[in-house]
Amino acid sequence: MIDKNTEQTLLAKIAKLERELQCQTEARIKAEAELAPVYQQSVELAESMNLLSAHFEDIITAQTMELAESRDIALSASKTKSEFLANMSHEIRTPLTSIIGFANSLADEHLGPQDTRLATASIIRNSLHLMNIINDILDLSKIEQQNFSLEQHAFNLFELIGEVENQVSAQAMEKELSLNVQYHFPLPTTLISDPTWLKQVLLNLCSNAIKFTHQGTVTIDISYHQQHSKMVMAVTDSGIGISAQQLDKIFEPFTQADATTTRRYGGTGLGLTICNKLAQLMQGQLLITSEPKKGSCFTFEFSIPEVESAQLCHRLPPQLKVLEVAKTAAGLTVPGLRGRILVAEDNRDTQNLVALYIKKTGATAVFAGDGQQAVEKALAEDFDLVLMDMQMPVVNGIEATAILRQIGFQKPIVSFTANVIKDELKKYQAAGCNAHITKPIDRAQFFAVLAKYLPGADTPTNEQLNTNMLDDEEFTNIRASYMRGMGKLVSTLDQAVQQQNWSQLAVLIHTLKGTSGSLAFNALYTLANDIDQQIKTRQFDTISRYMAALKQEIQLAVASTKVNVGSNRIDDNKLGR
Amino acid sequence: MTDAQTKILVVDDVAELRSFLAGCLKQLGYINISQAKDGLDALQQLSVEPTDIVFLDIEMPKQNGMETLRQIRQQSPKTFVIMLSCYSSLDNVKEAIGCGAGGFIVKPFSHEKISDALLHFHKQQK
Repeated sequence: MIDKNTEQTLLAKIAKLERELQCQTEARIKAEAELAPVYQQSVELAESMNLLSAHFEDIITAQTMELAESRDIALSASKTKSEFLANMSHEIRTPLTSIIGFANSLADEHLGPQDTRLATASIIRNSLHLMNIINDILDLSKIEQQNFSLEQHAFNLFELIGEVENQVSAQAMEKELSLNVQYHFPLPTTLISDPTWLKQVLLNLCSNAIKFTHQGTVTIDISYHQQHSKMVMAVTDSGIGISAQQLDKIFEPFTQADATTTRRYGGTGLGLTICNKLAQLMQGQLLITSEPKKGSCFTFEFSIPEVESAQLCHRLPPQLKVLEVAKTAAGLTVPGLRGRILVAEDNRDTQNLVALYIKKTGATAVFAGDGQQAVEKALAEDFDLVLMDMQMPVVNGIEATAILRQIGFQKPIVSFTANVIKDELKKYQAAGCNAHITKPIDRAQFFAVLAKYLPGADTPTNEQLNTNMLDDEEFTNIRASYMRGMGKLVSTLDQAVQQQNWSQLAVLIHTLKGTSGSLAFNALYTLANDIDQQIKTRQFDTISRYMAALKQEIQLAVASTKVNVGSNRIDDNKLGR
Repeated sequence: MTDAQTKILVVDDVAELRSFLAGCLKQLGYINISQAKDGLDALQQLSVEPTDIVFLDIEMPKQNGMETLRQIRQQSPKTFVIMLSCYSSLDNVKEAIGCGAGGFIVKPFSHEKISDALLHFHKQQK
C-alpha cells in the first residue's frame, strides 16, 4: 500500500514531469516552425543547383558538338582545297611538261622542218591551254570571294548574243557544224544583268557544245518567261552526250567525262563549275539533260528585273544585220596600218614580239624601257598611239599615263599588262588609258585595238602633210628668214668651238636642233641632233669634224630657201606683234 | 570663246621660233597673238592685257621659263601656260606640272603638237 504522503509526492512529480514535457513539446514545435523555411530554402537551393548543372552540361555538350562540326567543316574544306590544289597542280603540270619538253628538243636537237613545226605547234597549244586554266581559276576564285557581286546594268540582248555568235562561229565552221540562234519572241531588247559574266557563261556553254560535237548542229535557244521574269538560254548539241554517272559530278572542278577527255577535247574542267556558280549568283540555275551518243542540252536560267509587255519586241531589230556582215571567217587577217606606235615595255622578249606584230601591220614601233623614257619620248616625238606596260621600273605605267594626260597629251594610250582584274582596269582608265590589251598577247585583240586607233595604210601620211606645209608661203618666208641668220650663227659656233666653250655650244646646237626641226630642215635637224648627242656624251674630240659637215649642211639649207624665196622678204615684226 | 577671240602670247628668245609658232596658230584660226622675247617682257605684257594662253620657252636668257611660269601663275592664275623646251626630261615635266603648267611641248614640234595643246586648253575650259 502506498501511504497518502508518498502518493502526493508522486503526483507532484508526475505533474512536474508533465509540465516539463509540455514545455519541451512547445519548444520543439517552436523550433520546428522556425526551421521549416530554412529547410524549404535549402531544398530549393539544391533543386536549382541540380538544374544549373544540367544546363551547363547541355551547353558544354552543344558547344562540343558545334566545335566538332566546324572542325569537320574546316577539315573537309581544307581537304577540298587540297584536292583542288592537287588537281590544279596536275592540270598545270601536264601542259607544262609538253611545253618544257618540246622547247628543250627545239633548243638541243637539230629538228627537221616538220618536227620543228610540230614542236612549236604543241608549245603554242599547251601554252594557250595553260592560259585558259589560269584564267578559269582566277574567275572561279573571283566568284567565290565573299564580297563578289555581279554588276547590274542595261545592255542589248541581241548585240550580246550576236557577239557570242561571232566568237564561236569560227570554231563551229572549222568543225563543219551548223550554228543556229533561235529567238523565241517576244523578247526584251534591253536586259539588266551582268553582261560580262553572262557572255562568259554563253561562250563557255557554246564552246563546250562545239567541242563535244563531231557532226550536226549546235543551237542556241533564247526565250523569256514573263510570269517569272526569267531569261532562258539553252544550248543544244548533237554531240557525244553525258552518262547519268558523269552528270552527278559534272559541276565539281576538274572532272571531265574521263581522263582522256582533256587530251582529246581540251578544256579546263572548270567551265561548268563557273557557269553553275554564276547561275546561282544570278538567282537562276543551270540544268543539264543529256543522252549518251545523242547529245546534250544545257539550259541557263537567270532572273532579270521585270520587263513591261510594251518593252518586249516581236522580231529581230534591224541593227543585228550589221553584226551579221561584220562576222569574220576563221583565220586571222592582219590589218594594213600606218603610223608610229610608242611601246613602253621593259621586257626585251615582249618588245621583240610586239615589234614583230607591229611590223606585220606596216606601222612603226618605237620602244621605251621604262615610264620615264615613255613620258620623255611621247613628248619629244610624234606618235599615233602609245602602248603602255603598267608594271615598269623607275616610273610605272599609271604614273606615266597620268603625267602625260595632265600635260595635255591627246593621243590614245592603251594599257598593256597581264593584269586583268576589273578594278585595276578602272584605275588605268582613270589615269587616262583608252583601251586595254592583255598579256600574253591575243593577236586578234592586239590587231583589233591597233586598227581602231591607227589610220589605214591608204590614208595620207603625216609626213606628206608636213611636206605640203612647204608650199605655204608664210612658212617659206619664215624658213628663209631663219636662214638669213645662219651666217652669224656659224661664226658664233666657230667661236665657241675655238674657245672650247662647250656649254655655249650645247645651247647653240640645241636651239639649232629645235628650230631647224620645226621649220622642216630635216637634214640639218638630223645632223644637229647627232652633234647634240656627241655633246651630251661629252665626246668633244669629234666636234670639229662634225662642224665641217654642219657648215656644209647649213649652206645647202640656205641655198634651198633662196631658190624658193625670191623677193618675198619678210621682217620678224611683220608677224605677230 | 571662239578661237579668234582667244588671246595668246608667245614667249621665246628666238625670233624665228616666235614667228613660226605665231604662223602655226594663225593657220589654226587664232589671230589674237602677241610675242615677247623674254620672261620680263612677257610679265610686263601680261600685266597690261589679260591673256588666255601663254606659250613659254623654258631655256631663255635673263630669267628662265620656269621662274617666269611661277610668276605668271601668281600674277594671272587664270592664264593657261604651255611650256616649250628642247628637253623632255621627266624632272622638267614634273616641275612644270608642279608650277601649274597646262602643257609641255618639246622642240622641234609639229603642228599637231600645237593643236593638241590647244585642244587640251579648250577641254580644261569646259
